[in-house]
Amino acid sequence: MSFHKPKSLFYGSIILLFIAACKPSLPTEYDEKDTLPKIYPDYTGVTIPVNIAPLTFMLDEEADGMMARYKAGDVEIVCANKMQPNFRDWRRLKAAALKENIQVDVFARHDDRWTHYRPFTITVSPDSIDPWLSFRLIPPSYVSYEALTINQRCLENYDERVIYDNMLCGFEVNGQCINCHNYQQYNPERMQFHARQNYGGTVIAYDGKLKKVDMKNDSILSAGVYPAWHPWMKLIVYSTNHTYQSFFTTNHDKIEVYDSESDLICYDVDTDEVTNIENRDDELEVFPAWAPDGRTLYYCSAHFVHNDSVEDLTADIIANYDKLHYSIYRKSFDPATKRFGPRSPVFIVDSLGRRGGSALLPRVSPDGRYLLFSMADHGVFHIWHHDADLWMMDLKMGWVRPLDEVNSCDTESYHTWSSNGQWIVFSSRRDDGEFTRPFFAHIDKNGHFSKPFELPCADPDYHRQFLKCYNIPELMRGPVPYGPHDFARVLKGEGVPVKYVRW
Amino acid sequence: MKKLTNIPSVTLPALALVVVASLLLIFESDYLWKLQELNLFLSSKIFFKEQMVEPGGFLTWISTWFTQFFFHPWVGVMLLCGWWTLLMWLVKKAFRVSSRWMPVIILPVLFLLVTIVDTGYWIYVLKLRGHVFLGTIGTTAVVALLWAFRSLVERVKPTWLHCLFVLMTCAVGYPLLGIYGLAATALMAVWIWRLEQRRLPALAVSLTSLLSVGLLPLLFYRFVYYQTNVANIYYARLPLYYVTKAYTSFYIPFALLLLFFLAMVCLSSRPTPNPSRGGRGAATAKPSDDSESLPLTGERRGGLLALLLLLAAAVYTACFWYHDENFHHELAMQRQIDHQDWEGVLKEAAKQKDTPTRAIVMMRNLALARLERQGDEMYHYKNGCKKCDAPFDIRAINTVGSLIYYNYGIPNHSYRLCMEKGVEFGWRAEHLKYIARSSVLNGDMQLARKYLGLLKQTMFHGTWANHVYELTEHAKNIRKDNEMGFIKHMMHFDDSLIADHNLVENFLMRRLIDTRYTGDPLFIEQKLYATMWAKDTSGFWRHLYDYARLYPDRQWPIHIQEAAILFGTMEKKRMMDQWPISQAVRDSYRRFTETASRVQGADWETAHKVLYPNFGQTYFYDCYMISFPAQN
Repeated sequence: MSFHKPKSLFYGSIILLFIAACKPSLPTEYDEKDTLPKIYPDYTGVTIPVNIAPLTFMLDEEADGMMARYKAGDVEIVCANKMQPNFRDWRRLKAAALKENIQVDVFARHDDRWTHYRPFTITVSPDSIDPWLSFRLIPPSYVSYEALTINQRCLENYDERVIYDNMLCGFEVNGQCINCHNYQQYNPERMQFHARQNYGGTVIAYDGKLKKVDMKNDSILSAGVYPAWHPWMKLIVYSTNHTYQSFFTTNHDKIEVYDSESDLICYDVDTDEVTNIENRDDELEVFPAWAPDGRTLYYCSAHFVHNDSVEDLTADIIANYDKLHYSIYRKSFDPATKRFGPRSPVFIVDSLGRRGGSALLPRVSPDGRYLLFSMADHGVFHIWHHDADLWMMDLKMGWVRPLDEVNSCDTESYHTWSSNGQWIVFSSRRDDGEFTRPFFAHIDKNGHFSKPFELPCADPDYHRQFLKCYNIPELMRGPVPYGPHDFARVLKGEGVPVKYVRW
Repeated sequence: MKKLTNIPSVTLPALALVVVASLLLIFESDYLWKLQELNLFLSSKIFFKEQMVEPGGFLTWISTWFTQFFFHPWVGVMLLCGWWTLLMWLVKKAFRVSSRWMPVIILPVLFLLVTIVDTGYWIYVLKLRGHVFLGTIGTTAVVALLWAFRSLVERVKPTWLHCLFVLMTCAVGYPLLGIYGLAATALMAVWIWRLEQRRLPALAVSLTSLLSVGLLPLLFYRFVYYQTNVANIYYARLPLYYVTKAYTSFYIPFALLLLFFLAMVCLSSRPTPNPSRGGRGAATAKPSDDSESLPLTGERRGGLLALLLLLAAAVYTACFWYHDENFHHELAMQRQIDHQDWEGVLKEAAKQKDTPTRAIVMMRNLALARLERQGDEMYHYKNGCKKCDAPFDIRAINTVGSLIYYNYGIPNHSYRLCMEKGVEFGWRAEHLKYIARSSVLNGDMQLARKYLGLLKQTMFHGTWANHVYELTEHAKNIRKDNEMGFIKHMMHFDDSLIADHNLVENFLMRRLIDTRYTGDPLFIEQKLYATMWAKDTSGFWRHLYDYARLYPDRQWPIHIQEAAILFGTMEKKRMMDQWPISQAVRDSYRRFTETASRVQGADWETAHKVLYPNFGQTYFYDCYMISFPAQN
């Protein structure tokens, strides 16, 4: 075989050119534009945890091409069309960005002319976030459901796994709904979720042991619904609810979900005993949440006196759906005796002096300082209320304020704190008003939040195409070690019936 | 018959395809168009990944790609015929079908045709996407795999390679093709006994095959697929004819397909030993000549039998072809409404012979409303409330609910229905189109853009999506838009938390009657017709007053005159002779009352025979003779 030098040079040049073509370079001639680029997701000026996966984005306006650059110190990442850094480069960039912010330059091409937008920065906080996020993937439907999954996503990369899939236990008319996954202190080995209808029951996983509990009992209003694990005891407080929903003919909110009755119960994981802790006829109690010290239980309650002249309780609620205003209360708890004290008000919505409001989903920060909650005009299901916002109360100073730096003009609802108290994750429908996406925000020592950023995906267009909602985002210290079939096996068995007791 | 059996071998299959294609295009053009509306193929990674979470997902993915071509039915039919040509060619090659036996290669095509044309109202509830191509592509893949298997057994000696092939057919075929991968593997288990003359190797291959079919789906279920119920793992990619119970008769064509291939593998020619190869090769097979015949009977009798089989299959196909008139009118009207061809809707309505479903009546009235002829013509067409000819309960809300809600200005409910259907039966182009339209009308532009962005990925809905996308950026043009302008006139409903209980017409009419708004003449006119529908006299007078106020100089439409004289007489209103009711209507009413008095106390059929010929086109007849069961 003969070796032709010119030929090999030619092919070598072609290969080099090809490699060079794969590494995009920024345009050298361009027009300057003094506005921020319109990108999706909007990562302009956000603060991110040091352990977050690469932020990917794309131009959110008509253009013939895009170039973008991340730069911190001497580390530079340049991408064409979509900003999709690889993990190695991203790690180097984050390390450099701990000393100085990431500067982002975006160029858009229209025909053969490039435009350079005003650069923006991304701040990398040394505060890390819990590495795993779990959520239920559910379409924003009203009555129907088909495939539902509880998933877990690693926030440090794009790895996503199914924790449980309802199709394993559902078949056509015998479908299965799953909901309310919840963990004890971010511990993925201690979790619970409910299954309704086919093979229904509550699944409780605790340090490797799984069991199914049949929580229906004549002495309580319903099986447990919204859960709250005690921070260290094997106790779960639930609300029990008779929940209904009605559809609006023209209202922008489309649907109203309401409880005709609701109470609070406490369930002992070891003994399978359950007891009522709040069951007043004229109060609708819901959304329990423990303070991190395990000595105070927060919850929401709306005062509603049933009109005796209206026979149907549900019709009575429908007629007054916009007059249901929930306030936040708390009860003391003695871990030694398992006794709850009387309720005391924490945040009464009437105190705002407007027509009221409805405060839901109280969540206390791990240091016990702040109470984060969701607020809208009325009702008990804010994910369907476009006016729902996040509010925060300083439990030490007593002030309450809407989180304007976090809120959007659309729904903000379900929210939780990271285990170190430096981050919050919350559901928001700001992208399109319908599909819930998880957003994260950093809190500083003065109680102010950074601009929230959307869960990064490998393809920045993913959330635009994805037709399911991220429901109940919960942070975890690691991945759930149980597989879908472990849960399915337990669900297909008999549930342990609860015993009603009076504590 | 002798002449028939002498037809050149390719003529009959070609002729069969021409006949089938012609029949599909002549009788099922609207149905095929609807199939692609109820299909969705997106050119994105996420769409591909979403299909692959179930066994046979690849087959669905490729089938949905082909189904979209029914947007132009003739293109889809050509592609389908292309697949059928390939299938017939493969059947001939794989089983070495002789010229005399050529008619039998048409049988699988006919069985597959039945799976397409026997569905009727199932198309609204079938969860399997792309089913129109899925069976054909799946079956073609099965035959291709069988052919490969035969070639391997005939050309390669070691039995372990045959076993490996069978195992791989199942291991790769199941995730890609679902039940079709299993079927191919199972057929190999049988065929090996014809292809392999030694018992032990045949037993090994057969056992491998059966174990693969039995165990591999279980392993996939345990370790790969979480989105499949254990009850479904062996039937993946078979349409599920199940609503509240299984309708097994719809599986007959699939069973016939399986029987056909079982017969083919059992009756196909045994390979003859090839002495020149010697040793183990001699005990297996030699690649036979393709013209070798199926060893069933003698050549002539075989040809005759093949023709008889074909004839039987053709008769079976004709019998199971779904012919319901209302179903086809509904589809045609939906297609014309999608094209904003309102005159076309009326032409279709004029063809009506059977008693129509309420979906037909509602779509026709919508067309009349759009053409501003409802008050004069809505009883000139056949009216009625026939139930859908389906083995399960299906109502107007399931077939045209989102279309009706959208066009009558209740986008919230149109959106809701599309969302529910999209979630339950899987997203289809039709759902995305109506959900995008509804979002635009609701002013949810960013949400509309999301759905339109998805539609832009499709091959045939992109142009439409671009047009609506323009509206999201220039909302002021909505009122001027040919499609949405009229609907804007209807968006005056009072808000309420009242459920529709799956009764679209009832809900719409009640909401029209109960809404207090009186500012828009088009809306008031519809309120008036709603009171006539409900025979609500007090509502009629209230809305007639508003109508007369808004149209002081306009002559009342004929049917409104008829309702006025009917209700006025019933309630003994005074000064009726001064109302703007024509002499012709007064005379008609007088004749109606005289005739009606003659059939007082008679049963419905008798009264209908007497009244319909002269008064079937009046509100008098509709008011007395048409009642609506609580299913609309």
